[in-house]
Amino acid sequence: MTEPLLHIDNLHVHFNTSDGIVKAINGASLTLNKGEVVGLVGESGSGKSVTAMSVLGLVPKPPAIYPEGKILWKGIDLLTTPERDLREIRGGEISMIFQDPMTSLNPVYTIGHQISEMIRVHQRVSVKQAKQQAIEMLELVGVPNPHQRVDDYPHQFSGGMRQRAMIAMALSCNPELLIADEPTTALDVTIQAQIIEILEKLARERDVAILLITHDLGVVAGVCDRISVMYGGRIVEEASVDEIFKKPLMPYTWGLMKSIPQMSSGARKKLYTIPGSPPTPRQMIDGCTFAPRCEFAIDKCFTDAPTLENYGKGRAARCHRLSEPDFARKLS
Amino acid sequence: MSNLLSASGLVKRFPIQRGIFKRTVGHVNAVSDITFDIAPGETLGLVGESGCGKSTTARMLMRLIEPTAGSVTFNGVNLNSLSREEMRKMRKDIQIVFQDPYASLNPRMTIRQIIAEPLLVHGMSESDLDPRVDEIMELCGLAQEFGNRYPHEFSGGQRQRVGIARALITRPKLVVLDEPVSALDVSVQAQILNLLDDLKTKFDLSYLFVAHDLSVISHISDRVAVMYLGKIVEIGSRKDIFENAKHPYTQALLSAVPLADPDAERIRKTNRIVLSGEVPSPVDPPSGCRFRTRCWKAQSKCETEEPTLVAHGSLSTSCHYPN
Repeated sequence: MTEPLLHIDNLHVHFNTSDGIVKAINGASLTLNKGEVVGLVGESGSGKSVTAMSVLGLVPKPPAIYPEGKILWKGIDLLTTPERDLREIRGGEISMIFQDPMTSLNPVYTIGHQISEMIRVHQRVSVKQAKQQAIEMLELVGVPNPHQRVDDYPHQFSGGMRQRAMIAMALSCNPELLIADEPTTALDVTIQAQIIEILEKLARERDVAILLITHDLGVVAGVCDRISVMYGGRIVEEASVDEIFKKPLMPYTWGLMKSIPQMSSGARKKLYTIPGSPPTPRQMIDGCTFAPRCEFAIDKCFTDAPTLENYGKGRAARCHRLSEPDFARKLS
Repeated sequence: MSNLLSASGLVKRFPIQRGIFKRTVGHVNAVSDITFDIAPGETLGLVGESGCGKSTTARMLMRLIEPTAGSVTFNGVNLNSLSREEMRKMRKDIQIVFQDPYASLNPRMTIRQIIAEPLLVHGMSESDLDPRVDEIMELCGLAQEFGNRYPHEFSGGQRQRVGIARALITRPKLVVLDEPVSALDVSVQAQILNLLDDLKTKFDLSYLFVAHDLSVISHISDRVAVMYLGKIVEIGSRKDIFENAKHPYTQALLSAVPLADPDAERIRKTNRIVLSGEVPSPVDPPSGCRFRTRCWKAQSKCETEEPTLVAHGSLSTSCHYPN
């Protein structure tokens, strides 16, 4: 088997704060192969953004510390790579787009300037060539009249257009991996459909691997090959998109799926609810992070943290009760 | 059947002012001639993309924003003819829950004070407050010991429960819910939707539920109104809208929603309607049909003639070429 493009292995991220150590991530493992689209799903505070930012070395150290784990990019551990080499990879081989395109673009430079700057950092091209490339990139992501709009400032772009400009910038150096952190959350549903279409086209035609971070299970269902679910700083389940939606193994994934209202005109049912709210990273939980909200929790769940066990066909889940032979049947 | 609330011909134009003399250089046509009714015990879902005027409409119902034209009749009373004092009394019967539970609660008041405030405004003596506050806190799933804490100690979901308790303590007949769950996590959203459902039955409430999420709208609404650029383009029962929508915008909107079901998504993807372009500016909306610039069915008639809502059975659609 070929080496995976990105392999995050048992990542731990802690933050040193004035109130003591905050354990934001306590065991995140994730593998991405070439051209694959993987969804990282979780609620606010689950640690999905910190995981993504860690890949690019964008989490400031201090306060962040990495007591355990590796982030292997084509076999090189990015956590120990010096900043100078990291800068080559960041933006070149791995790019990222953020949720809020307004705050990630510089308001005092034109869109074209910002895209060409990125190109010129990574490639030996003239200003003119870089601008030409920027226009091509804008065209690729569906910005109308790219020749004129390349000289616009971010405030002249609408939300959807700004996100396109961000994607154009992220793709300008032909990255092998694109990390998209909630790329459509700030957008309206008809614009979201356009952006998702672009991302899918990229994955298919340019063979870019995408790590799609989102809280929206609908978005991942349509786009991703595989899904990892994060909760309380840990990956709690991973599986192919078909299997996880048909038969979730971990009670959290199961509850999450049952609690989404379905778009239908059929008879109305009460929604399933997971009681309580997600833990904040400050809360120290000894056992399973989901145990306080889990209707299936047993005593052991509150004292021992379960490990991520494999269940065949690329499936893994973190739950004590899965060792019981008929437990999986209860989650239906 | 008489309506609890009727909005008729509501218009809101916000002036755009420039320069030191605040000269008016144009208008934002936020809401342009909107008419709808809400029956007692009914939930009307108001759905649309950002900037379509749904929140402005919601606020005009309570006169938190004064309409430029049109009127709102509530329980037979024309709200726009009331004095400020009379309107204040009327708000006992129409309450609102806001989107952002972080911005809508006063950080310097305790939860109990926040929830009791509307009763004090409406002249209840402090000694009578406690049982009412206790009752509503319990119904909204807030433990008694939370009463003396401050909003910052609570999660988004709990704060939204406080916002709902504050709205319901005056025993209103109509509650305007302006994106009440869009700031919440998925697992918490379901709790709040179920709570709203229970409270509606318990207090015999009517809701105007404003949201951009069609799944949430389909879950909670009895009837649905779809807005685009300041106008209602289609209004009908939940079944009409989600099964037989005739307006191309409604069809595109429904088709754009990603479903949490990989099999269904594969089928939908092949015939998904992806609208090109973006919503035009409400400062200078397109002539004729406002949706024509993004509509794949647009003809020359759509440019010259503005369509009006035409009833097809219980569904009303504002389109020259409905299907």
